[in-house]
Amino acid sequence: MKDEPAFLPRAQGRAELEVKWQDGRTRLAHALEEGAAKLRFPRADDPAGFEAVWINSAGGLTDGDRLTLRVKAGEKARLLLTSQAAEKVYRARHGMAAARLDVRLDAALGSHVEWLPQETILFESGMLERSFEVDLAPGATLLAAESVVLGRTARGEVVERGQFADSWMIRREGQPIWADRLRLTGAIGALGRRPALLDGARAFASILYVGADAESRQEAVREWCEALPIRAGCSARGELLALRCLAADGDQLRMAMSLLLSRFRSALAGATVPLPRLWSC
Amino acid sequence: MPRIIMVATTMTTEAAAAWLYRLMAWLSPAYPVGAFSYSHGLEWAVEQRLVGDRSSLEDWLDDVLRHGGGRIDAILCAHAYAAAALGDRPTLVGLRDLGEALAPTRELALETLSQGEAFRTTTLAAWPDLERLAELLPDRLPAYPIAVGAAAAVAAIPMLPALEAYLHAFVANLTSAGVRLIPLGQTDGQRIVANLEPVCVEMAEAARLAPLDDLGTATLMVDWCSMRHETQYTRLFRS
Repeated sequence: MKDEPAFLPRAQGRAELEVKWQDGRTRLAHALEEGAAKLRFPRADDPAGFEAVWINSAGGLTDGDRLTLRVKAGEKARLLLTSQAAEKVYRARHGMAAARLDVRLDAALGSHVEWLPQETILFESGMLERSFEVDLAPGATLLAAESVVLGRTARGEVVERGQFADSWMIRREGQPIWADRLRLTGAIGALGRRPALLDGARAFASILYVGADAESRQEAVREWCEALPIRAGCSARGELLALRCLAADGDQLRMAMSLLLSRFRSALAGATVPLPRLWSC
Repeated sequence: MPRIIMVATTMTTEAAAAWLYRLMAWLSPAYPVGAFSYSHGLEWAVEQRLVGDRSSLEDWLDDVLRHGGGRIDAILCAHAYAAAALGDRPTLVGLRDLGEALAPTRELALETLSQGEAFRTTTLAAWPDLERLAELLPDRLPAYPIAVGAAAAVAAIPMLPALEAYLHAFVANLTSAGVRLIPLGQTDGQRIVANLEPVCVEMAEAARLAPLDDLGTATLMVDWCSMRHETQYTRLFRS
């Protein structure tokens, strides 16, 4: 007991962000930061959309940490949310609760929201429970991506144990349209080597687009996927277009995601748009 | 006293015979839900040589049961059963929506929704005494485990045998798909079904008590296979 500090600093934080469409562009309507949760606005005056960067100033997550982000995009607003750095999830102490990260988005009539954080890196015995909940009003569209890397793969690190639970719930006018629950717990190293789970991939990602034109975009996205050096696939139904990517390591995944997301964003904008600056390798 | 006990025993046996008969009929490969036409992404997995013999097929199905669609289906089935037993239509409507939203790909959605709808219409047509099922099950396509769970509750089939029978049908159907695709001998196929018996029993037991928050999968490769199957050049299966 003597070796353990009586008080361990914990990341607790809450941020709120609200943007609205006014006088021909998206503007900040409300922002709140508490604790370790910070927001930055590098391109607040970009007519193409409002860019916000989410920061965990505690520099990583461990057991008992809890961060929440609540975002509202007003009618016709265009918002891009990303994160400043990869989120690192460190070893949790035995018997402690997992770190929690909860993100909640409300997209009003005709708005467009992009949630494109950088990857989450799960270290040996890291435990994270994450929820991503989105409510879309009629005509609102969403592009969301999450990448997970098991250990610092560039250093040959292999994560054998851990807990990763990621829950996505996307609703349109209150009706669930996409519920994705990923649970990888316990001996995640051994599980990840099994062919039906990750088949040895140590980095994986999901991308979801929700919009009336989802099905018409599938063919182009499928071509991008099939040209990649990693395993990537996509499937569309109704207003959903979902992608899964599995890569040998974090670098391969990051390259693939940069390519997919920059093409996707350009296709949506009808013009070449760069990836958020922070995403550049 | 002894006479009453005897009558009670006879009645119990007759009731048991009725539920067993229905459970076997509904989850038999002959029940016209079209199960034989779905491979749950296995067709692409075989094409990619991720699955190519008896042991790799057994491993694949073991994982689909524990970490994939089997687990999701069992939990949805248990919740639909409980809601139907209570006559709770709003909860069943919510489960119906969740069941569809949980399908990760177009073909896996087709697989569960088409079988669910075929199960619902066939069962309502052939067993008119289950009219409560028509009141309880939402009109729009229910996911297959939701239709089965609700019907089992209405027919007073005990929950655990219903879950085991559902998972057995799931495994037996995918094993049969694997036997055709790899190909394997029929006896090897049945060895797989036999070896996965304890897994089905364990997953049924676990699903009986699992809250909806326990829903979750880790079978990203199955999702990827199902996605790539959409454009597989030669295909025997619809998923």
